Amino acid sequence: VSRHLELEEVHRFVDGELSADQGRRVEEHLQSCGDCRAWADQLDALRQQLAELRDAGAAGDLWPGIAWRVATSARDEQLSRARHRSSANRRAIWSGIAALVVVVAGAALMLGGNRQPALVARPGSAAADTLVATFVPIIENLQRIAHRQAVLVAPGVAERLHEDLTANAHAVSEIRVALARDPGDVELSDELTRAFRREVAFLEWVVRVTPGDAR
Amino acid sequence: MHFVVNEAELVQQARAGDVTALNALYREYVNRVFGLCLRMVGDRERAEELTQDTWVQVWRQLTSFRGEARFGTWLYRVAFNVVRQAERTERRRRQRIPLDRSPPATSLPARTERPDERVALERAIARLPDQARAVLVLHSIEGHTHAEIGRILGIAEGTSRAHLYQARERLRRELSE
Repeated sequence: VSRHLELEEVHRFVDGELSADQGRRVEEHLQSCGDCRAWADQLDALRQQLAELRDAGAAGDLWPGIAWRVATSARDEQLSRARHRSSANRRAIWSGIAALVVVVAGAALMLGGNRQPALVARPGSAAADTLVATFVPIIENLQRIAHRQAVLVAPGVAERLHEDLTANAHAVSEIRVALARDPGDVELSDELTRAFRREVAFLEWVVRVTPGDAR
Repeated sequence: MHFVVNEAELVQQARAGDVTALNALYREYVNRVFGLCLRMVGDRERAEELTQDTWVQVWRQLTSFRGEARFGTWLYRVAFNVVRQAERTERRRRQRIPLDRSPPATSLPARTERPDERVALERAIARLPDQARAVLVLHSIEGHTHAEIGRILGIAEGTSRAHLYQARERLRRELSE
């Protein structure tokens, strides 16, 4: 009997990784060495037992939880970007208003009038009406598609989507009520624009991520 | 009508934010990811949590997947990192709050119809060192090559072989006692 097989030799043999020549030499050794034969047989049986473990059974239905976490993660990123944009927009708006004040005030002084100049035009209810007329048809259309598609996702996910859609719609509604009381409030008007944009963005996202029959 | 979409297209669509494409990839791979997590942590409930965590990470990290490796290989790497991170967190938690009792036994042998040999094998796998167990699961159960395991675990092929041989020898000795 020649020397016993090396560890790597016997493992590679069991895995079928040896060349034809190497494999033949190992086979010849195994014919005459009971210890190595027993070792290789045990490893081969173990290899088969391990392969049979491949079927670990199915996982439970994990998708609703994953879909919800994915949805929340995407929405949070989107809201974060929206907040960043909104803050940049607000800075730009206030810079614009400041510049306008300087120009209008300067023009009033140049005209030499003693009357108090109207520094900026207040948006009034006409501006709010324009916003509503612009955004509401888009939102209603997206809502129809989103609600239709939301029924196609898992019930838990649909429920949370519905909650978010309702919360957005509620926020818009509250601002509109406040603006109706004080139609000239610039900040409320600006807030309404942002709320409409947030709702459109969220609805567009819902339509995009839910399995739609429209696509 | 049934549309046949290949995996690369699904990956591209999921990268672009299409959750339906992510769902198709999930259905294709979920049981394999679950199997890996189950063998690594030995507890079905925990394995399901880690499987969920893996898919959320896949969604977040897909933009960094450049298609240099197969999606399956990349997915296993994400899953393995999720498991490894969870194990680190668990170890830190145990260090902060020392338990006055031994950790719960593995819940792997949940099916009573399994023969004793299979139960013994699963218990022996659960006792292997982390890296050796990972290599054994990926090679001998999931069927990956050493080159793929090297990419998944970030180790050399030779190291993967060494861990495999060490793991199998240990199992062989334990099961023959």
